[in-house]
Amino acid sequence: MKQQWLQPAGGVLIIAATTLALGCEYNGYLPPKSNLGWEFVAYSCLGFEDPFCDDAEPLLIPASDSLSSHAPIGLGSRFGVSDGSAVSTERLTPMPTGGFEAKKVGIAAVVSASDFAHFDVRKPVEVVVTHRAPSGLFTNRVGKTAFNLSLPEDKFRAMLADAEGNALAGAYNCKWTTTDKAVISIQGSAHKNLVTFRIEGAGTATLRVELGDFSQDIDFNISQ
Amino acid sequence: MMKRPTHAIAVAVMATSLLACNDLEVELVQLTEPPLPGRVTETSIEVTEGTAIGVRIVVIEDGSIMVDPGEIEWQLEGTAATFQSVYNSPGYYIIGGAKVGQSSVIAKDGSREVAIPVIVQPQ
Repeated sequence: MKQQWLQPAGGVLIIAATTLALGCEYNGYLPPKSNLGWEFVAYSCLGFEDPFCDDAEPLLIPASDSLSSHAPIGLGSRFGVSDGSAVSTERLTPMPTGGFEAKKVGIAAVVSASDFAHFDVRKPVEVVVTHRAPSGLFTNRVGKTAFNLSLPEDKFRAMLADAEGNALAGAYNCKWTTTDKAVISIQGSAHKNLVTFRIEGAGTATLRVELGDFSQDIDFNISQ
Repeated sequence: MMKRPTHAIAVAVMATSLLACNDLEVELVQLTEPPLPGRVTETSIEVTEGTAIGVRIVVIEDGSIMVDPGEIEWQLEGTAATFQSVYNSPGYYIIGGAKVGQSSVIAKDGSREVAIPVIVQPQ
């Protein structure tokens, strides 16, 4: 049998999904710097919808041509800053609950009493779903053709990317759903960028993530 | 015979001289390279809307005496720019471009003042 080598010792699962590990390598993360060098104006995330939030699962972003040393921010997303107010409230609109909403593509400065920093707001064009690579990092992009999974429980991570493929920081409304809980179930929160799903049984099911205005389906065909 | 008003001329010259001596001037030094076009000239600050630039502003009186930055009262005229003193760094300021247009940063020392135009260009 062609797929038997993928079966774990327990002989539980073979998944021939319509997705693919494209091997998109995310690396080259640059630590943020503020302009006067005091580091008092730094990016902070507002929740685990933001892929740049999860310290336990480090995200390596691609080297960016951003004009800011911070990761580019997704248009329409929400994010926090350790200290400071926006130079242009048309670009970064303060939210009543704290933090900003990125309202306009371009460069936006945040100024504190001691320092300032620029953020590069970019338009997202797609949602990117990644799977953990052997290195332990979420560097394998889940794409259009076959994606093989051998564990009964695993994780996907979703983030938005710009036209150049840069992962975008910032929180968007995030929701994971499954079409058949008897085949694929979601463990824990379905509203984080990082989802844990479990194979429950044989059959076909689709895992869908909606992130901001974008969505992606991941189809599973599970045989036992 | 017509009298020449020499006394009046002398007073007028003295007043002009005093006014010139009491004028404030500024020296502007650009501290940071903004991510989009922006620069500090001898007399003005140019910045792109949405961005900010770090500037050292030295206020000078009587042609060569630096005014203690702590003695200066700063005012911002207009809504095109933002102005922020840098905490614990006297004489250092952050100028931001809030929206396209022109503002003035005004340094006041007692009754004397000097205005620095801030030109905010579109992004």
